[in-house]
Amino acid sequence: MTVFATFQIKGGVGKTATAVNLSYCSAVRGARTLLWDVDPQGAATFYFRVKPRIKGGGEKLFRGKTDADKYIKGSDFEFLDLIPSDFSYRNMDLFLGDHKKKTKRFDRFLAPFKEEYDHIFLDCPPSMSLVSENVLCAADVLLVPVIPTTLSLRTLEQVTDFCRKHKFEHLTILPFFSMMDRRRKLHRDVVEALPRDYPNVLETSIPNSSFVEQMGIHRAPVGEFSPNCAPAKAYHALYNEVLRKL
Amino acid sequence: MDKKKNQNVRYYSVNQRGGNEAINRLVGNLNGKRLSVDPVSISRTYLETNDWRLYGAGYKLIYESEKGGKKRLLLTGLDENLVGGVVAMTHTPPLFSADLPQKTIKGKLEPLLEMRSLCLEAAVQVKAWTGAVLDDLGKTVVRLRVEESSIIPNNSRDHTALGVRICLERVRGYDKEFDEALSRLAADEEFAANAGGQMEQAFEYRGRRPLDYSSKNTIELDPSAKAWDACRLILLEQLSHMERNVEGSIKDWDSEFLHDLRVAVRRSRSLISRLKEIFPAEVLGRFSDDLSWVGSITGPTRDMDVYLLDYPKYRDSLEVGMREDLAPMHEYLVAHQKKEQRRLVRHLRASRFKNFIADWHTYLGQTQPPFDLPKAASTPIKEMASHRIWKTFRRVVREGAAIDDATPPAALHDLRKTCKKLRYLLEFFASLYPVDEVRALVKALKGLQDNLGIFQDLDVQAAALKEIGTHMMAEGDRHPETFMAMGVLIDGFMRRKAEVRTEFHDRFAAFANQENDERFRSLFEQNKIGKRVEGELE
Repeated sequence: MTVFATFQIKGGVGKTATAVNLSYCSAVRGARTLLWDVDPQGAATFYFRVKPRIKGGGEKLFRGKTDADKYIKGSDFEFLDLIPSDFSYRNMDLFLGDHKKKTKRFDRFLAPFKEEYDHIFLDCPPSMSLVSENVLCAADVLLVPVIPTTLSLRTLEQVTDFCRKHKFEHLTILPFFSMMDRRRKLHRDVVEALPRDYPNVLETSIPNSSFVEQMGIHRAPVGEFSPNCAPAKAYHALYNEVLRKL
Repeated sequence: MDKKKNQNVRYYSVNQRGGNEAINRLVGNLNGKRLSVDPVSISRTYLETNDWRLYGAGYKLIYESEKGGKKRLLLTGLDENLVGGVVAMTHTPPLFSADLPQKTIKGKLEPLLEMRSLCLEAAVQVKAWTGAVLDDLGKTVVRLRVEESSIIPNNSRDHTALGVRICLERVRGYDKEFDEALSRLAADEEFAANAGGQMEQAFEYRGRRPLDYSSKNTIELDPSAKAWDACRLILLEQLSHMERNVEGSIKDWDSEFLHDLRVAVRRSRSLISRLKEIFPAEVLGRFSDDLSWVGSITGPTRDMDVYLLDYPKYRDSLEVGMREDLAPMHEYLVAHQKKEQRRLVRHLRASRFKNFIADWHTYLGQTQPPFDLPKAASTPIKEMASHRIWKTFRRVVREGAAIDDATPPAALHDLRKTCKKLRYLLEFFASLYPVDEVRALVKALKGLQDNLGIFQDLDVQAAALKEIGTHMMAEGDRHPETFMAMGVLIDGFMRRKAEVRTEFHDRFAAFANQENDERFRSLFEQNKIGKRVEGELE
């Protein structure tokens, strides 16, 4: 079982779209897949038409033994299940702070799922907090979407520095370009320059496309309502490339 | 997860009167998304081992291939409810446990399958229309599928319709909605709960029934039946075991076909030689010769099968650095297994084998034999069996008690053979005695047999490896490291053999104790009857 986290300090870089579409690609290929929408905004949950609610609120997730089955919702797609978001997740740092080994709570919560799923995706909120540390502890692979702009690059650096400093050495950090616009020179320049500093950066980039925006209208992954559009193909390619890196 | 939640798929048959109209009405009532207009064609294959290992443990394994699309493997319970998840497959159906793709399925089935292949197949052609029950957000909360299935029987071009069934699938986390849909279906008289017996139907068309074969003795004997009649039935069952394993042995689907065939031959020979007195000359002559011949023509292939089955164990017993050195031996075994297999196939297809099977069948099939039977053949079987078992038990005790640390290994090998004879007798005639008592004795005997069996195997394996080494060298193998690795294995066998030998006395004492002695005595010793039978026989 592999835990993937889509992670960035910066918001609006395509984390949720990546988590939703990659978990869809994973399920379509037959891998038993779980997506945990850790973000209190609940966008991933919305895309899958699931009600953003956890029985007893997010606080309950980390109390006592995990009764995994209680939280999981099957999606419309075979092999793809979801742990929905809950608005109480906004206080997750507080719930986590109450526990011993407070950075390992996610890891412990996910342990019972390891037999049941081949891939677990975590869609994380944009921040650097106790939640983030839990994510970094629990994940095997960090998928970092980067818009080819200066600010976004800066945050990539912050993420990698943080991981190095806190010795998250088990993590495979895989940055990739998101919301890429080939017509813009700045984007093209950054895409060309970045691999020099980050040899791990993935070759596949996700184009900036209105199809991704339409996910909110269709409430489904792009591959479901427009299987042949450029981003649908790009997500499949990204999925393949990520698997090859493991 | 509680039991109720495990029932994640339910099947209903559609009443013939209702048909499509009933299904459409149901979909409407369930707030269902309309069923897909075009059906998907699915080829569904139920997979089993020849001895129904999965069914016997409460499982069904299903391989589904959508026309031009997905391939999936499903593990269900006998009611065709999913228990092991669904796995997407990329290639052909799995044949051995090593081909099973997923931990949960593999974890459950590997210990059951062992070396057996999933060579028993029954296919069903399915046309499936899919739909869903939706909630107020348009989200799927129950999956619906209408299936129209048919079977292509053996040697036929025509499909036989199996009828229409509707399938409701639970979506995780939407239990209330699933239960609601089920209760609507239950209330509708056009639908009847279907126990999911499609696999049984499909196999019936292939001439197989679940659990219709096991290599065990299943004949229930009448204690007052004449010895000849009872033994005839036992031999007939053994013959049917031989017949059922011929095709698999020829096609080499897995090593157990040949093994079962050989066991049936060995059992038949053992019965005939133990109860010689009741058999006519033809059985003791021609048929015994034929049985012995089948034993000999199947031996070399079986030997190679055994070495190949044990190969991973041999390899793993070596130091990590030496394991690769053994590979040329593996190549030798594979090549020679193939060679012996080809020779075996020629024998099994030859007229001598076919004539033997046909004649043995005819001979045993005669309820009123046209030939004269020896006088002892009329003895009631229970008397005869008790007498034989008791005598063989006494022989085991006698031979075992004579063994001390200085006894040559040959004596242990003889004792092993006597134990095997006793085991076969106990199993042939178990139905004449209280089941639990016989089972307890077989179990006690097994403990001793295991010890003697390992001792013998180690001896045989050490000798076989030496021989294989000589052959490999003669065939021009130039891998000194392989011979060194084989030497290490032989040394390991010898050391283990010495250990096993020291365990013998404890094992023997555990079998030949007072409790077992009294059990054997009370079940089988019949002084007066015994003497009478003995008087008649000797």
